[in-house]
Parts: sequence; structure tokens; C-alpha cells
Amino acid sequence: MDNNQYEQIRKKTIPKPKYLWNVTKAFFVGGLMGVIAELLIHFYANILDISLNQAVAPMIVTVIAITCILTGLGWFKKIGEFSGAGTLIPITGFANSVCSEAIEYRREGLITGIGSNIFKLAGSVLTYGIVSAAIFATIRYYFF
Amino acid sequence: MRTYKFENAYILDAYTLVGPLEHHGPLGLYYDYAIDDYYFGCKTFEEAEMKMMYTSIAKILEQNKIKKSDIDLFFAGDLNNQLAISSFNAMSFKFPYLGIYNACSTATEGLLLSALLTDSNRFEKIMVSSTSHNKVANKQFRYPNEYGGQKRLTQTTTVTGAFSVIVTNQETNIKISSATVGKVISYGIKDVNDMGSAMAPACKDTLITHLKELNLMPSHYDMIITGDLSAVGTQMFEHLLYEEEKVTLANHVDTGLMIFDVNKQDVQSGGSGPSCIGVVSFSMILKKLREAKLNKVLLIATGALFNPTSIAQKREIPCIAHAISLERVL
Repeated sequence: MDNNQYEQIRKKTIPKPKYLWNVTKAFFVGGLMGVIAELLIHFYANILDISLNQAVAPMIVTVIAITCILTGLGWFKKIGEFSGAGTLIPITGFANSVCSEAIEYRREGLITGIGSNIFKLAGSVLTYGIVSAAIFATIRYYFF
Repeated sequence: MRTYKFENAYILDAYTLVGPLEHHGPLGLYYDYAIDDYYFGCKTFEEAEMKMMYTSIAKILEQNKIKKSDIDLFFAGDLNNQLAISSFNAMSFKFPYLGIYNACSTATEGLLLSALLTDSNRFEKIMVSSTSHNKVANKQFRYPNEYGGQKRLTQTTTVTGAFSVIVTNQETNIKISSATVGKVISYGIKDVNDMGSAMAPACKDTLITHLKELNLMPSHYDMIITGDLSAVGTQMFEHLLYEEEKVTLANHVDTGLMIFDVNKQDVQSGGSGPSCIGVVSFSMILKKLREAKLNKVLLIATGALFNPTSIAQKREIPCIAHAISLERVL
């Protein structure tokens, strides 16, 4: 049996993820996150007496803080396992990846542990986020 | 020939220790000791893993009233970078030490080497230990433990456990009768989340070589026990055996599927790790051999010999499998 044949058999053998169920869970959890975020924005806009645009910042901080606390309590991995992309794609996924790395490397020191490992997973989001932001900002500045 | 028969290789005793998930699994009652906390009273998971191996060694020495100085050689291996866990324990016990690494097949590798050495009658008692810790392995090979992503269905769960075995040239009722050294084989699988499929060809090769070189039928053994092929790997292994050798096994079990309840516990495709085949074989299987419920078993431990760098550089996964057979005598 050559490698290709083996790969073909493997593809038939491996269990298929329940795509529809996963997408549905992600859709509803993601949607619920959106609703919560929207409520938070209105909440902050009201109590701090700021515009809705300005209220986005405290909303993000709140969501990140909640995610980090849940990660620290060991609950977020269960939520993430259930909801998949529903919590991975929003800011919660980013906060969880940073926070989980920080917890993982805490015992290796503040500099060589947390400092150098905290962006291990989230680093590529930052790198390509900054690079693409610079490119699009340049295009916008000169052409629009 | 890469199969060896032994006259003077016996199992004196074994000690197994497992983590909480394994303890609540189907074989929970067979293990000698179970920890209910992944930290095992330590500050880090690595320290906990060291303590696990330490406990298994200390207990087996105590149980058999053997002094540290009676151990002629210590073979040990684990999944931590550069065998840190084994080396720290070798330092604690001051045994003459040979660290070994063949990923999850470290267990049978150690037993095979011990049997070769005791068979020469130059060594009287050799200690073989191996350990793996779910959280330590996750940190090293997968995502951080608290990372909230979905796991693949083909992925295995590293077993938290440690075992120690003393191999001796003095006659006991469990004999290591033969062993086959594996060759590194790959069928080009690059998916690190499907190690079962990657390891199946190596497992098949070792089994067939073992049977051919000793001129045996698979039914010679009461049980052919493979170590951590898990659900997907077992299917691929049985498929390969049938397609390439026209062999079907009626007596095959996989420890990756025995140690956990794959349907009820959140372990995806099953268990893996150097301690997977060790804790199952030296708890339940050893007990059944001693009670004469089994007479001859073949243990084939499979190992995926990749490292995170080779995977990141998109190399295939080289795999190996070593086999040893245990026989009840007297």
C-alpha cells in the first residue's frame, strides 16, 4: 500500500465532525455574545454619559476581563469546547489565548516565562493585524 | 532477525499510578494508586510528574523490600524535553541510569532492553519506569491547558500515569519470553492530531515480523495488546493487516481504548502516552496473568517520533513499535 492509498483510506476512516451542529452552536453563542456586547455598550453609554462609539472601549475591556477570569477559573475551556468559533473569533478568543499562555508559563518567571510566551498563540494576530492596518491606513491616507 | 527469545528475564513486580481521569475510567480499580489532583501537591505539573514517577519507584522498592543499591540499572523515559522527569528521578534515587526515548513505545523499549541484559545474567535487577502527564504533554505538544478551542475527533488524550517494573534474572511466575525491536516506518502521515493512523503501519510491521520470525500464529497469544493506537489507529491497523497481510485478529485490544470510556469521557479518540500501555498492562493484564486468566500476551507499544519543530516544518511523522511477550510460567 503506498502513501496515497493509505491517505485515502485514512480519510474514509476518520470520524467526521458534526459540522451543522458546530455551526449552529457557534452561530447562537456568537450571536449571544453580540447581544451582551450591545447591552454593555448601552449600559456604559448611559451610566458614564458618553456616546455609543465611546462606550465600545469599556465594553471590550469588560469582555476581556470576564474572559480572563473565566480562563483562570478553568471554565473557559469548557465554554470554548462547546461553542467553538462562537467564542474563538470574538475578542474572547484572543483574550483566552493570551491569558492561557500567561497561566501556563507563570512558573517560569515574569520575563522568560510570561513575558516571552504570552503572545505565542496571539502573536500572529498582532503581527498581521498591525501589518495590514499599516497597509490599509496608507492606502486610505493617499487615495481616499 | 530482530526478534529475541529470553531464558532469564522475569517480571519481579510492578507498580502503577494514575491520574483522576484514568481512575474514573473502566479500569479504575486495578491501579495501585490514583491521584485526584493533577498537581499532586506540587507547584507545577512537571514537579507533579516527577513525584508520580518517584512514588511509583519508592513504592515498588518498599513493597518488595529491595534496597536502592540492589538495582543494577535504571531505564526510564518520559515525554518531557530531554527526559527531565526521568533524569531528576535518577538523581534522587542514585541508580545507574540510562535514559531512553521512543515516545509512547518507551515502555516496551525499556522492558526489551532489560530483558536483553538480564538474559546475559550480568544484571540481576533492572528497574524500568516511564511516565506521562496530560497537562505537561499538552503544554509541550498541544495548546495551553486553559486554551478554549475545540479538539479534533482524531486527537488522543495523553494519559496521566506512571509505572515502574523490576525485571530480574531470577525466576518468577511472569516471564518475558521474547521481544521484537521495531523499525521506524512512515506512510507519509503529517497530521499530528491523528497519531493513531501514523503509528498503525509501524505496529503492523512489528507484529508481522514478530510472528514470522518466531513462526507463530496470532492465536498463539491470548491477547495482542497494542499501546495507544486509539480508535482511529485501531481501525487503520486492522485495515492494514487485512489489506497487506490478509490477517484478521480476534484477540486484539488497544490500551488507548481500554483506559478510558471513549463514549462517556471527554477523551476524543482515546488515550496515549508512554504510561498508557504501561499502566494497563502492569495493572489489569499482570493481575490476570498472575491469576491464570491469561497465559501469553503480546505487548506492542507504538511511538510517534516527531517533535514540535519537525511538525511545524511540515515533515511526516516517523513511527516505531516495539513488542515484548509476557508468559505465565510455573
